[in-house]
Amino acid sequence: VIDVSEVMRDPEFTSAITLRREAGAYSTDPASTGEWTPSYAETQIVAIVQPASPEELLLLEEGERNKNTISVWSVSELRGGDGKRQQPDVLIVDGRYYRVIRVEPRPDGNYFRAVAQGYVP
Amino acid sequence: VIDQLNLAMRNLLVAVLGAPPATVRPADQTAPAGGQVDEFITVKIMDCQGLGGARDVVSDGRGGFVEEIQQVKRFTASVNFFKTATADPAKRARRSNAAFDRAARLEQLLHLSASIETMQAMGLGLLDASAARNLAALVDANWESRGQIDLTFDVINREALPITTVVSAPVSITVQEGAVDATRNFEVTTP
Repeated sequence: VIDVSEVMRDPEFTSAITLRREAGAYSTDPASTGEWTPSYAETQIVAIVQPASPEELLLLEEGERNKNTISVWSVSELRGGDGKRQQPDVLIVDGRYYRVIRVEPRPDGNYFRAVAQGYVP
Repeated sequence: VIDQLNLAMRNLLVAVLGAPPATVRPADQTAPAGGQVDEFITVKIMDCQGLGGARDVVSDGRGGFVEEIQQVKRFTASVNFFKTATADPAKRARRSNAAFDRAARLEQLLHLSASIETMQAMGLGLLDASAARNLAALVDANWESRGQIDLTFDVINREALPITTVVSAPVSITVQEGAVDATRNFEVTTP
């Protein structure tokens, strides 16, 4: 098994992107009972960003395949939503917004690989 | 108005059911709902209709005159109960009608005298409750207990708007003093 994390840091391949991770809590204040108040932790990470491959697009539903989709490789942890407690990470690449829709942790290679889909904020 | 009604309904449910406030939520939030055994309730105001004519009241408030339109509104709140607190050894939600059960008991709980007192303090009147519905479903092959009930209330909605009034006006009075007319100019100002 080869540790490829060094490549993920190589400036010849990588770019700096913004990772926005949502946390938050449901209000217990009677003036806003049960309302979700999000908070965002924003960090700069280094990642390789490429357009999604045709094979990766095939994993999406048909109606989703023509959307702006990217592949991201990074040593920084990337998270997709779990539908229960975690909202998906948001990546900001050159001012464009992407929502992480799928993550493959690769602990053997010491990196994360993700697919993210663009949206208009 | 709708957001205020939704908030009032959530606070009512917290008081009536003794539910933790963070678990009684507005419906359709883009937020994580919790794990398989995290029970929660959502409220959605489905309709809101004015009944009869509106009453127009003009009052002299501290900051000036205020026109207030009062109208009875009838609205329907859809209350959804989600999930059960019981899990199997693999931490998957057990098959359960817990949420449906909570929906089915809600109308009776609203008829408790303590509940009526709470509703009166909020200005809410319970008009009707639908049949409780069992909406349990398999989600990703996992059991999700769900129950739903529509509650219809009336409430008096007040829309108030300050009325622009004359702040000051010049007054000119001419009086006859003997053979001479005398004119006096002054200005009156509202308090």
